[in-house]
Amino acid sequence: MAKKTENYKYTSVQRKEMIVGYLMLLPAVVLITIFVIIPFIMAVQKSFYEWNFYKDDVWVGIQNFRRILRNKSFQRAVVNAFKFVLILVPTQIIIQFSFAHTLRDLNTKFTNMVKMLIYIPGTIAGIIAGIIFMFIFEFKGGLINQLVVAMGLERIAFKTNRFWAIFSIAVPTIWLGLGGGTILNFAGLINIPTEFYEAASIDGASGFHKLIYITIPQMRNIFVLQCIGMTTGTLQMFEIPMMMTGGAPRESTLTPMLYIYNGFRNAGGNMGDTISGALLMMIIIAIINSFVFTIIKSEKSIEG
Amino acid sequence: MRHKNILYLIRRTLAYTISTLISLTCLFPLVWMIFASFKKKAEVLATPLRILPEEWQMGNFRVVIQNPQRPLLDAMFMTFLVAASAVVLSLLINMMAAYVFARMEIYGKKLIWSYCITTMYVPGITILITSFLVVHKLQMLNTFWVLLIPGLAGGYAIFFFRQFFLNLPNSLEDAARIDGCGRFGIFWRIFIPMSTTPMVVQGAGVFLGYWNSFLWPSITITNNKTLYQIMPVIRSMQTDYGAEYGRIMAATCLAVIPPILLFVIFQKYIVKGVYLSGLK
Repeated sequence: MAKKTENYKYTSVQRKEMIVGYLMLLPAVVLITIFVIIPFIMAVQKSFYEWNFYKDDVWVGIQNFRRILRNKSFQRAVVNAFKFVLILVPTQIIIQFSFAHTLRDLNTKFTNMVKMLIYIPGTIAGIIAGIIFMFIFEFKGGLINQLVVAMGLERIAFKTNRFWAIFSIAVPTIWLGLGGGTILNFAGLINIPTEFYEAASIDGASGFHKLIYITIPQMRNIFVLQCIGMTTGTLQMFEIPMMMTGGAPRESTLTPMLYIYNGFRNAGGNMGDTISGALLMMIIIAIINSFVFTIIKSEKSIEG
Repeated sequence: MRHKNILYLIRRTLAYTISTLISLTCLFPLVWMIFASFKKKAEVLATPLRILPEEWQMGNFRVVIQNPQRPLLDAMFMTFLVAASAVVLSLLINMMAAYVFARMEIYGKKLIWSYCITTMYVPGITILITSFLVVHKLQMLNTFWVLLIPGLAGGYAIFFFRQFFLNLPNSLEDAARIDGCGRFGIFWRIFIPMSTTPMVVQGAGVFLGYWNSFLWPSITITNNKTLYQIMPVIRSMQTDYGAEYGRIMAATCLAVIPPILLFVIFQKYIVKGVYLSGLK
């Protein structure tokens, strides 16, 4: 406070206004402090202790981190998370871009209708999407297996087969994201100046060439944006894997978030381990984010 | 020339057909859910496959609504109350902060700004357990407040509104100043009314976030039935009814009504919002 009044940069009116400013910031700052900053500091601190809800904290230094890094389940969960990233991010971007590209030149009324319809699943919770697809993928009488049997094939065990377990998580995830992603891609496509295409047509470029040399480079920023969002989102996948497989079979679809949730549920276990795992996930996500941001920044500085 | 026209026509017809098919496929899981909710138990997973219910009966809805263990409608009402309060409060809190960051000169602004904004980089996963400890210490567990308050302020929302306020003309303040308006007055009487689109976009996002949240309510509300939130209730119905999907689908049918209704009403804004957030 004292420092503020000594600051001659500001006039008395401005200083009076400042008080209003601080008051307007107060609720946000207080809430962020209590519910983000303090839990975060506690997480860092608690990761150096062995503790749980019944036991007092025992200082163990970096033991927790060592243990979690050697923990087979956690390792598997992290590997799975990256596997999901490799599968889901490109697949989703390709689907959303192709669909937006298909819609591009169609009648506006029609595309508005399509945009509305495909966005509806985007409002639905992961829990509900999970239940609906569990029902569709049900082993005995589920829709897919009925069709499979009708075609004379063998029923698919979505929960016990590694491939199909991943598939059963991928489908609802793609379903939930399709609307928003397509709309975003569509907006990006519409923003590409038509002169680019006209010039290319004069030069005799084919549709394929236009796609490769104009459309895709122009969409780069959107792809990068989607990449970051989807990657960080996929690394934190929780509700759909929990509903569809619970991590089965043999932890092949266990995600880090699911691992941490299970650790939290196991109140007698060592919470220090779980928290250090959660911190490691944050570091991984932060590295990915900063990596992508540096790419974007260097791009912009070249352009500007 | 004629050959080219025919090719163009075929391409367009194909594009329309594919787009229609994809849209219908997208809606199909929801349609399937609705059909199942009206089916009798024996029909739901019956072989051979039955698409439409033999008779549109409301039995499933009656059972899930009257389940005394999991009061579905009460949970929906309570979730709505929490979500609606969250929309109002979080808009106010984050917009006030965003206004200061965008339009005011205060001492230490940069520092406070980075303090608020770095929270965007803390994933929920990292602070789940310690947030639980915090609300436990504050004796907020099993209260209305534990559902409402922790998610209100957020770096992303502040960032979003600040971006919008920065793009509004500076003359707004000058005119209001001449009329003797204070800073809060300017914010309240000029900036809020001018922010309908971002408010609807952000507000819808907050509502959906609260309505669809599962993890937080399921660990913080454990012994207070009146505060049960919809998603944990739906999840436990899955354990209650096992493979009786007709019942579960009836519950999910009811649970998706508010978000879909919200989307249909504010559709134009929300679609615009996807542009806004994507094309900075």
